[in-house]
Amino acid sequence: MQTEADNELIRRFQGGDASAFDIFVRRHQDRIYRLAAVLVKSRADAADVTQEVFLRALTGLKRFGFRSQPFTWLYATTKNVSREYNRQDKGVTVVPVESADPRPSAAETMDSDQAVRTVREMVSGLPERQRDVVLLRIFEELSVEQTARVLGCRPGTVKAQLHKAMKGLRRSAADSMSE
Amino acid sequence: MKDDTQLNELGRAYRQLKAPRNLAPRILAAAEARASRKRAYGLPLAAAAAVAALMVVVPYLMLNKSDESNSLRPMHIPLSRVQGHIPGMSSFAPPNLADIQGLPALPSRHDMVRPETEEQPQTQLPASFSKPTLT
Repeated sequence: MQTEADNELIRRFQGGDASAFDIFVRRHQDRIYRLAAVLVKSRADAADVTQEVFLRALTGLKRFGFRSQPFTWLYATTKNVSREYNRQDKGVTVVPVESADPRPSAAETMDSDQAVRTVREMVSGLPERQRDVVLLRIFEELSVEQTARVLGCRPGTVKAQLHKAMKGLRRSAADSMSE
Repeated sequence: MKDDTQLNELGRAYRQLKAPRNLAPRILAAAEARASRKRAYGLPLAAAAAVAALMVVVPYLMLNKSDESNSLRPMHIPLSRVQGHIPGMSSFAPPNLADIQGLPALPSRHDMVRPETEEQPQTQLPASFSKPTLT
């Protein structure tokens, strides 16, 4: 995640260069789509959320003040839009619970759809901050420093939250296996 | 999670998920549509806003540029007339209303004549009316 490159793109976009927005979308669409796929209930919704995030970026980034990272803005907007989608769907969409064990063995090759479902199930029981840390640090492979910058906290906080989250995840996995 | 290997495997599979190929073009098309809609509606909106502003500003300016007798024009009272209201100033002269532009001179208090009151006719009560008595 290259913040300087992002900042440069946004400066160009703010200066009226429409192609900069095009590059910005293509740079971040996969990551935003994946995060949205975890936060909402279907891939179709994830695509809609991703589109909405970038459409909001179209107006929001024109006023971007470079006090934080562009990805911080995108991630916060992704969470907000996903929340709005989930609120709209409440009571309407029934997500089928996976009948098979969602935790595949290490030897098993899983497809990305299954992986997203597993990640969603894993992080759904975590407090929001721990969920953010797990998603960004473990699954998006951001460094501790990058995760801290995106979440607007200290690297030490990221490490502490990650430690708590992993402890909780291991405990819940052990509980579900013993049942 | 049983171990970190499992977690790494999960992470690798998760990161294989890519946005659909048509998503970026779809986003850019939607962005373009939004921008062109803004362009299409933006100009008439700006024109309408300008006309509305003119409808407010022009009458206001015309009102202020009208003749001297316009009662909405701010009144000018010479400073000499308000001396005495200011602490430290010796003379006090109340402003003469006749000096205020646009207003006719009013008669002084002594010149005012009390209008004669007309005698009100007495109301005749009917003969059957009896005065109520207190018991």
